[in-house]
Amino acid sequence: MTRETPGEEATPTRLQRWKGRYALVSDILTPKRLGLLIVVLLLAAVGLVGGWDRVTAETDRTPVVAAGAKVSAKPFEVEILRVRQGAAVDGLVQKADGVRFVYVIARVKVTGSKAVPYNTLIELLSVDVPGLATRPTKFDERGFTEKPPKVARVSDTLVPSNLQPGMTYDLAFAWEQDAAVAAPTTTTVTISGHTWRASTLDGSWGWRDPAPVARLTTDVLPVKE
Amino acid sequence: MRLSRDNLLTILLVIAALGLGSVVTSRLPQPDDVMNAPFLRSGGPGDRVELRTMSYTLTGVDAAKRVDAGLRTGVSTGLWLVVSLEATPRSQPGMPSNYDAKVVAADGREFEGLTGLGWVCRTIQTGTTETCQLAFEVAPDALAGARLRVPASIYHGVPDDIADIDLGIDEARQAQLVAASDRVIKLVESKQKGA
Repeated sequence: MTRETPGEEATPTRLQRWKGRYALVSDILTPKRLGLLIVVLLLAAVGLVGGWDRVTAETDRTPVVAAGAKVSAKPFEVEILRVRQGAAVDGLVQKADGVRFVYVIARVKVTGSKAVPYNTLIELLSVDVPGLATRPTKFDERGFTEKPPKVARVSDTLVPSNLQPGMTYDLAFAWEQDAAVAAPTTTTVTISGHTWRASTLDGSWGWRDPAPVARLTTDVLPVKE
Repeated sequence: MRLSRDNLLTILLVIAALGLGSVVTSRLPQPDDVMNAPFLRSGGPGDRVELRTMSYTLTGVDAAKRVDAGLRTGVSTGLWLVVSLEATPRSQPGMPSNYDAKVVAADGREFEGLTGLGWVCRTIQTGTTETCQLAFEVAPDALAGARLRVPASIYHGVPDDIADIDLGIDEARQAQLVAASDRVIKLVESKQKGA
């Protein structure tokens, strides 16, 4: 604390100086108007640089991998073996009219110490193919989302309700495609990893929040009849 | 107001104490964890393990690369571990299921049931004892020291009462099972004991 000498004016602090300056315009620039002005200037600045779309537009920095690469995508290690399209393969999927299937055959190893459920497995891969089947969105009946693939074990065509820890499986992921749409000759397979965390709704632990960790572009050959 | 050295020291001490308290709390068991921890009912081969809903007795174990469940045949890159049980529901009919059960290896790995294979255990009437087989796909090196865990029931995904049965497999038995695994085990449908 500074002590003032009697008869001598204290040097105004920086805050007092700014208060003095603001007092000159405070009748026009009330705090409410000042706030509005800041908002207007902010919106104008955003508009000048192209709007929020440019700000929120994500740059895809997902690594691109080559065929044969083993990709770590928690809780799995994945290798894409081949991609095929064509008719239903007995045991893997059921035949349906007007439907073509796109198959990704992948070698999948569970890297953790616990079994991983099917619901996590179906979020592991996605394919960039037009005309894939959709289903109503879970919480909004008006919207549609891509139907997840059906997954089966190549060794015995069983649907793996669980993949066991430390074990490696050859799995067939099958997506339904509208047969009226041209069959793909090439596609990009996106591999997604998960995060082990507790649910914010019920506190249960699980693999959640799938996010792309790698992409692989490959030819799509017809399935052998 | 100027921040004195004493004030600064007090703030730093408070922050450090809060941080230390947070670390200590995170390492101590929480009341909810203790209250929700399931009861483990331990036993070994031949022991009758009593749960709230059912009692189980392990009568045998086997392993092979293929298992025939009647409608479906499972082919594993590891092994199918088949456990034979006698099960007796206590107060209402019940069905042992490999969907709820798991095999826990000595190193902590947890192998869960595969519903795609189907199961051969059927609903057992109260007070009667039936033999029943459950199949689990496991890694070949997970057999020695493995335990079977079967819950009394599943409530909101949290089992409250669990049979924790030592499968009685040592290293020598593991080697024996692995060596003889190139075959098919045909699961036997559950039947009343003595029938």
